[in-house]
Amino acid sequence: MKLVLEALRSAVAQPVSSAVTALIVAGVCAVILSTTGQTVQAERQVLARIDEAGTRSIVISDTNGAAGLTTEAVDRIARIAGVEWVIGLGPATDVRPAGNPGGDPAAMRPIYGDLPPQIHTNGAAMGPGRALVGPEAAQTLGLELPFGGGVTNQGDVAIVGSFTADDPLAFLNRSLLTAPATQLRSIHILVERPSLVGKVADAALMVLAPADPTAVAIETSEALAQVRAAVQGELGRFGRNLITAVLAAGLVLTGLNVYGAVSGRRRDFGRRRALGASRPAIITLVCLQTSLSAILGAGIGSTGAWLALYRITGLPPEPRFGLAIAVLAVLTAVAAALPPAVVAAFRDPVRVLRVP
Amino acid sequence: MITLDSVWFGYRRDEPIISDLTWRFTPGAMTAVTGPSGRGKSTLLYLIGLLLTPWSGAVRAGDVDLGGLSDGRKSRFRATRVGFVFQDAALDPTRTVLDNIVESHLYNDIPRGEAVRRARELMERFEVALRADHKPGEVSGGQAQRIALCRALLARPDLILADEPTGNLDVRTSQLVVDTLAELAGEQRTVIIATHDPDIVGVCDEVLEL
Repeated sequence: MKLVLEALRSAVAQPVSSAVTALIVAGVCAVILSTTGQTVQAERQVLARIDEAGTRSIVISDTNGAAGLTTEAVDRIARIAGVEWVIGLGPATDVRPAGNPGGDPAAMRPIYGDLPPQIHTNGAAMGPGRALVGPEAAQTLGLELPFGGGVTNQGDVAIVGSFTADDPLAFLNRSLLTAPATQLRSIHILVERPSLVGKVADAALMVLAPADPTAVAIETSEALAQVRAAVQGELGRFGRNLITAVLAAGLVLTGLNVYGAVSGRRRDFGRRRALGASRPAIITLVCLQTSLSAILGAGIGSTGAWLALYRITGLPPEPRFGLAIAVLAVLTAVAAALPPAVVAAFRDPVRVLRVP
Repeated sequence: MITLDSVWFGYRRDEPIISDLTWRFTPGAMTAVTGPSGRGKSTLLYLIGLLLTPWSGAVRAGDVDLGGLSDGRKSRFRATRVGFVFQDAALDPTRTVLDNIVESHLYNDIPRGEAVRRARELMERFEVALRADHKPGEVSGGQAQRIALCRALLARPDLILADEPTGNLDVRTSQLVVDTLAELAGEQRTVIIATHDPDIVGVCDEVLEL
């Protein structure tokens, strides 16, 4: 504790050197946040857009009705590790408006499984003979309100509400949904991470164990997942290289500044050694003094850059990222101070204390 | 008791400044180390203060060969048992007089509060109390040397090493410093003064001529 206070006093007593160290570290933080920080934000946005496109989805289809897609298979697939949700869709049936049996039909599909969060419902629950209508299907059927009747070749159906579906289920907006499904024509799976698509798809196929493998068509977003990984890798590599370069520059500049300051304080360290400072005490003192200036600089640089980016772009990096960069910049400054500190500690005190 | 046992030392290979020196410093005595310039008076103080290590021979405290100690233990020895008074005071120009005097508490076990209390006592004794908040650049040479003396005495060391302590002082201040050093010797401390001032040599109990 004594040395921390002494380091603080030394930092105050050497304002130029302390200010230069603080400025270098502030600059390092500001440059990283305004370049790599923006890259990280851009990377997040690009990845989010790719993810919106369904990098995590798997669709298993029955091409000729012999694939053996069953509700039991859906339940078993739901238990595979990494599956976020899974639903089964039955065969489509044409629905025409009850008031206009000759009008344009919309497809009605029975659904099996818990409704995923991408489907937002409004109105009564689906059930046998009761359906929810998607926005495009409502337009096709000429429904101004999501209520009414429809006819199919198997009987009447009551439209009791509406739904809207987001990606990767947005295609359902053209349909009506009903329940329950007994026969399935397709199974739709969303996995937790793009990297799991291939593994989950393989596991799902093993669960299905179709009698006729040629009857099963599987569409995965693996190619998209690979693009995602490539984008992430490229942008990540660029960001890492930039951070490394800026930190390296900070390391060199801080090291030179501390070396200059230490060289100007030969008598100071010689006197301290004569008064009883050990070599580790001298090293600790120099590093602590540098770290205090660096902490000040990191605080100013990170906060200033974050606020500036917030005002200019409205998309500042996450505070967590800013904090991580600040910590990294301070550690880099301390690392830069270490060699000059060692030089100061091992310099012969008698050379500077002797008066000719 | 500090003893030198056949000590050899030089700054350059094959050019010894101190050759085969053996001496026993008596506790409670003030010893003058004297001789012409370049004969190693200051160097001897640095050897005894463990800032230099002899080529051969030993600097002992009692039976302990101090040269064989680790850097940490040598530093501890200096922090707790040695008080250095340098020829040019060697004060930190960026700190106040009070901060200069209490500096050594950083390297020993004296709490800052106790160090400040002792420092104020010493400043009263050496008539520099009014300069406590001044920077070294704002005091005279004599005051600077007395401040250095205060700093050397803060840890109440049993070994005082003074390198030309009156070199830049007026007669009255020189007398004050010498009287103080003699007083410290009277308190059973070992006081070693490197000097070529015959007046100081005259008042010392023992003289080591190099």
